[in-house]
This record gives sequence, C-alpha cells and structure tokens, in this order.
Amino acid sequence: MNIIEISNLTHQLIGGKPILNNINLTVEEGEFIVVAGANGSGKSTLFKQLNGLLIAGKGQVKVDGVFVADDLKRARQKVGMIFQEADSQIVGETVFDDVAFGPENLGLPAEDVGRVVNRTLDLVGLLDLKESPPHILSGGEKRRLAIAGVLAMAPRIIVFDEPFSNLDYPGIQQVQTQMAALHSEGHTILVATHNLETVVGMADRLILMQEGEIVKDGPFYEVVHFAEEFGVYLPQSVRSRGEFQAWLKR
Amino acid sequence: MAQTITFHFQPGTSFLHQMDPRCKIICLALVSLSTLKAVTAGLLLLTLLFAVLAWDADLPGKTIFFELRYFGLFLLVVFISNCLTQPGTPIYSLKGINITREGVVEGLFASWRLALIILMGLLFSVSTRPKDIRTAIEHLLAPIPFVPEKRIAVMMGLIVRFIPVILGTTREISDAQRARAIDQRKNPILRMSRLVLPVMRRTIGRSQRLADAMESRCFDENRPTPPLKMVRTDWQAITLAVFFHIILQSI
Ligand SMILES: Nc1ncnc2c1ncn2[C@@H]1O[C@H](COP(=O)(O)OP(=O)(O)O)[C@@H](O)[C@H]1O
Ligand SMILES: [Mg+2]
Repeated sequence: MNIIEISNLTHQLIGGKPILNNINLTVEEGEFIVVAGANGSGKSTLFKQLNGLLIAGKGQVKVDGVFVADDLKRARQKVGMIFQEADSQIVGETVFDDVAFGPENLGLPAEDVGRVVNRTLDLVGLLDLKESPPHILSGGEKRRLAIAGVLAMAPRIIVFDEPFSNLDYPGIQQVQTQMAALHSEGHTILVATHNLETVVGMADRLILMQEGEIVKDGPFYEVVHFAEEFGVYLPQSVRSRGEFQAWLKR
Repeated sequence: MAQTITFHFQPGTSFLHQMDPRCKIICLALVSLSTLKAVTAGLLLLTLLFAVLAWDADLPGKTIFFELRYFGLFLLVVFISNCLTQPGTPIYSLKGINITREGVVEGLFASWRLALIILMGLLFSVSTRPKDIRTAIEHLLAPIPFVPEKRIAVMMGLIVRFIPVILGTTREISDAQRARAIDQRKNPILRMSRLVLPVMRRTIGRSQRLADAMESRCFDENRPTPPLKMVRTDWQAITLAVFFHIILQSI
C-alpha cells in the first residue's frame, strides 16, 4: 500500500525557475526514507507539499489515497511535520499546553486531551517538565517537545526537516532514539538532512535531490555512494567500509 | 534564572488553585479596588487576607520578599514623592523643600496599597495556569460585541510564549555586535537601529515559520473555547469579595 504518491509535481514561483521540477515519488507504509541534498535543493519545499502548506501548480500529491488539496485537515493529521527550528513551532506557554494544542484543534474533549498529552509526554520522556515554560528546555528537550506536539495528533507519517541541526551529541542521540522507536511502531518516517552520518543504519532508502529534482532514489547503501557527487558529505562509516572492501579486492 | 521564577505558575491544590480563573480575576479586581481607598484598618484587614491566602497557597515568605524586591525602588519613589508633595505640617525642611507629617503618612499608605496590589497579583499568577488566565479572559470577553475574544486569547498565549524567545534573540544580536565593538560608536540612534532592525527581521522570519507550524497542527481560529465551571465556593468567594469591598468603602 502506497501511503504517499506524488506524480509530476512542479512547484514554481511566478516568473522564476522551478523550485521543484517534475517530482515523482511513491512511499510505502512503514518506510524510513532520508532525503538529502545541498542547501536550496528543494527538500523543505517538497516536504511542505505533503501536508498542503504549499500546493504546487502542477502535479498531484496523495496521502493515504486522498488528494492533499482536497482535505487539508486530514492531510495535516496524517502527516506530522517537525520543522528545523524547534523554537518557532512550540506555541504553548507550558510544555503541557503545547502538546495539547494539536488535539484541541482536532476537537478532542478535554479529558481525552489530558490523557493523550500525558501519554505522549511520557513517551518522549518530558512528563516531569510538563508545567515548565518551553524556553527553559535544552535543545534536545525542545526538539522532543516538538516531536510530542506532532505525535499527540496520532499521525501515520512523520516528517523531520533537518532534525539534527543545532543539537549537541546527547540531543542528536535523543532524537535518533525517538525516530527509531517511531519507525519500529510502524510509522512512516521521512527525514531531510545533509548530514547522513546521523541516519546511517536507520534509513532503508535514500533520495538525493539537486536543484529541485530527484537525482537518485534507491536502497540507502547503494545510493549513498553517489552522495558526494551531489554535494552531500559521505558518512565516515560508509567511506571506511568502501576503503576496506577496495583493500580486500586489491 | 531569577527572571523565570518571577510571577510564574506553581502547581498546587490550595483554595486559590481550585478557584475558577474568571472568579479569581473578578475578585482580584474587587480587592484591588478596595485597596485603593483603604486606610489603616482596611489595609490591616487586606494584609491579613493576603497572609491567609498566601499561607494556604504555600507561597514561601522568601518568594514574596524576592518578588517585592523588584518593585522596591518603585515603592520608594512613590513614598518619597508623597513625602515631598503633600502639603501640611513640616517635620523637616531643606532649602524650601518640606517633608510633611501628612506626606509621610500618605506615602506610607500609598506604598502599602501598591505593595498589596502587587502581592495580590503575585498570588493570582502563582496560583493560575497561564492557559487558564487566557481561557478566563476569552470567557469574560465573549459577551462583549465586536471584541474578537478568541483572537485576543491566542495572541496573549503567543506573547507569553515568545517574549523570552525574542529577548534571547536580542541578547544574541547585541552580544555579536558588541564583539565587533559597536560600543565604540557614539551615536545612540545608530546603535539602536543596528540592534532593532536585525531583531525585527529575525522576529518576522520566525513568525512566518510559526504560522506554518500552527497550520501544520490544524490550527483553526474558531477552535472551541475550553469550558469553565463555577462551583459553590467560587460564588461564595465573589460574594465575600463584594462584601469586603462594601465594608472597606464604609470604614
Ligand atoms: N518563499 C520562497 N520564495 C522564493 N524562493 C524560495 C522560497 N522558498 C524557497 N525558495 C527557494 O527554493 C529553493 C529550495 O529551497 P528549500 O526547499 O528550502 O531547500 P532545502 O530545504 O533543500 O535547503 C531555494 O533556492 C530557495 O531559495
Ligand atoms: Mg530546508
């Protein structure tokens, strides 16, 4: 079952050259996909099509069998989006209020909201901080709060745009752990990053983008070798493995 | 960290914590109104009321002192200006400026009243979730025509959330500029604009990302107002506050 189907998608600002050019992409339920590419290659623009924050002039996007543009609320509930800058997506005055924001918007009754929020905060390990104002949280905690805010809406697809930027090592680990857990629960995961090192061993599939086009798409360990060609740093572990195999063949 | 503690909600189960936030706002307004006119007996009574409520809400004396310290200078200015401006019997005079007995008394009362109002406000904010304050205001504004109470409530929430973020940005930018010797420039207007413009640019960028994030989470301006429920003790509290107000007006 394809949970995402994008066909012939071209996104263009009036008079400019296309930001996304003839994108075709299908994603199966439960996949863990990494989208990599240099800055400005169109990763964020592509992701914003998935929940209708941007709607392209040409082409179509289907999420779980329904056109995104036909039912924005449904698309936004199905596709949880975690943005690069955690600080500007946290809207609550307290950790609890922030996680409650989504479920309240979906019209859940207050008791259910409380239950969902507590369960979600427990899941990301922020239950002890639920009365805290968000600005006192650490970088990793803010990112986890952003994840919780999205999880509380019970999405099936979770999209991370540059989730590791500005994080220290413990912060990166916390987010990785969270991602792996969500993937093993059956969520479909899409991650945009230009640092493949952080997703080695987690992703099944790698998509490389350049100037608004998908230039490579396939199993992670096959496509990763093309990374440097398109301006993405080749992970050290992959590099050394390649060197080791070359040495064996010698 | 000190600033983050100031006027910040602390979870609890006291009488004030359980009171309906609308009712708390009304009572706070009534009590503040009573304070404005009160003299010795009334002020003593109100101080006693504050002490009882603070004790019940587990507000430690240290916090009270700490919070008042921020307003200390302000209270002092009120006291001194009263001392110097009230006409009456002088008790000390220097170069034509008189400190009068009436001035000292009036100054003491004025700063006592002000301190009480600040402390009542402190009690209110310590015992009420920011979100409940927002909901209460939404409820209280709802009957007034042409007031977009939902929008006001959302804006209030975002302001509370983003003031620390914007302050952080400001500090960052000002540090970066001082690292590049902006202190050497004498023109204060230039220094100000060099700071304000980048802060504004960053804030506008952030507000666009914020709008994207809110939309992603299905934000709808017409989300239902969370329900609030007044119980018997709430009505009792309001009755008491009204009663108090009338009594204090008459003594
Ligand atoms: N609102 C916009 N107006 C003009 N150009 C834009 C806008 N959003 C994105 N772009 C351009 O689209 C291209 C792709 O941007 P983006 O999707 O953010 O790339 P990535 O996330 O891969 O870094 C960039 O060249 C960027 O300058
Ligand atoms: Mg991007």
